[in-house]
Amino acid sequence: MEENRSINLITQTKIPGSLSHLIGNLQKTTVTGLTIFVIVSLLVGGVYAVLRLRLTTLTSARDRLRSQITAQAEAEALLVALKQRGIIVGKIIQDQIHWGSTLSRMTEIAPPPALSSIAVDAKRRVVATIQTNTTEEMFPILAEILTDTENKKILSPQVSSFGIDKEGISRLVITFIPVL
Amino acid sequence: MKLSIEQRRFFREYQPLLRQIVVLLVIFFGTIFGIIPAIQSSINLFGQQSTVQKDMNDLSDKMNILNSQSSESLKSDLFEMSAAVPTTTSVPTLFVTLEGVSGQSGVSLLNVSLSGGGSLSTESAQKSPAHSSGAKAVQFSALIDGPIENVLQFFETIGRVRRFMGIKSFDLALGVSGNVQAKIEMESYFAPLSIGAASAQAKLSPLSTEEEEVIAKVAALPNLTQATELPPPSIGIAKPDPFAP
Repeated sequence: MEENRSINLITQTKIPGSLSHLIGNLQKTTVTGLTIFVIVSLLVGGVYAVLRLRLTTLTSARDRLRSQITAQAEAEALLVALKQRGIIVGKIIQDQIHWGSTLSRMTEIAPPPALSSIAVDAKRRVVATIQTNTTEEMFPILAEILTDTENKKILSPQVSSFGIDKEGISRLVITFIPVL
Repeated sequence: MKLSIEQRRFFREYQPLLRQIVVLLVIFFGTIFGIIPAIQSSINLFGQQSTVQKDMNDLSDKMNILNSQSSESLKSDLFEMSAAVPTTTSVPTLFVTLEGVSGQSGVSLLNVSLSGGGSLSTESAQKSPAHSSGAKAVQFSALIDGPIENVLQFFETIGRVRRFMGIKSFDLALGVSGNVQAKIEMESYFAPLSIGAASAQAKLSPLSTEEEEVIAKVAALPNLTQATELPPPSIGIAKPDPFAP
């Protein structure tokens, strides 16, 4: 047997074969893991940098817009005030009652002096006093009122009072609610 | 700290294994303390970016709305609307309008009286009855006299002038002479101008078709009062003397 005459101060590794195999596998895992780690790190870092940059850009653009809007505060305040007033005015217009048409119609039905008075209370109920020289003259007036009732121009007409005085003058007080 | 020969030998023998373990530890801790926080920060940034983007869109819309309206036309529209429903009780314009309508209709305005004794004072004005629109009402009564046709004309015209007035009730008596005397309970409206400094972020919508129609309707109505200046909006401007008119 040939003797190994060389001098080797560093002794051979004494890693067992199974461990050596494990180290081989571990090395492959490490290389793969390291590669994935580096790639993921780069990707995440890149995405973070892009997002940060975009956020900075957007924030500065937003601040610029805000200062532009602040500079137009007067126009904004006027627009807001106009819209608020528009709502109020619109509602008032909607609720407005034009009594002219009701009065005109009453003067058509009972032309003065037959129509001696007409009043409207807060509940929109009309009280009309009609007087005629004869009772016969009252009939066409009543007929007109009935026609308007049938045509739904007036609602719930009621005769409050009807009388004939010594001189034969007929006086009718009628109440109704006009459809406005 | 010096390592013994055995320790050095151990490290030398297991160097490949130790190197792998160190690298794996670096990957592990790098993931825990580097990648995961970076992903979380990225998600947060994305959320912030979405918020800022939404703000930007809102602000852009607001800017477009403001750019589409000129301050002058807004001022003019508001002036017209404030003539219809003034910012204060504005009793003088009320009387002028009543006189104007009477004159146009050809009736005599015999008497006008405000229903609330102290309705001119600020405190009483604040307590004025409110209309369903949110405006406050100044109640008054008017006594008019004239031929029936003219009185009818008065009733037709009163609701069609730029100072809005509503008839609550009336009592119309036809005399033998053919003249009619009418006592009319009326109300006119006022609403304080609430011009305040809104934040830049506050939402703003353009004038709707209905609102534009209302403005056009009001603009078409005759204004029987003398023009009065609309107070300039006091946004961010402190009045040197708060009691000054």
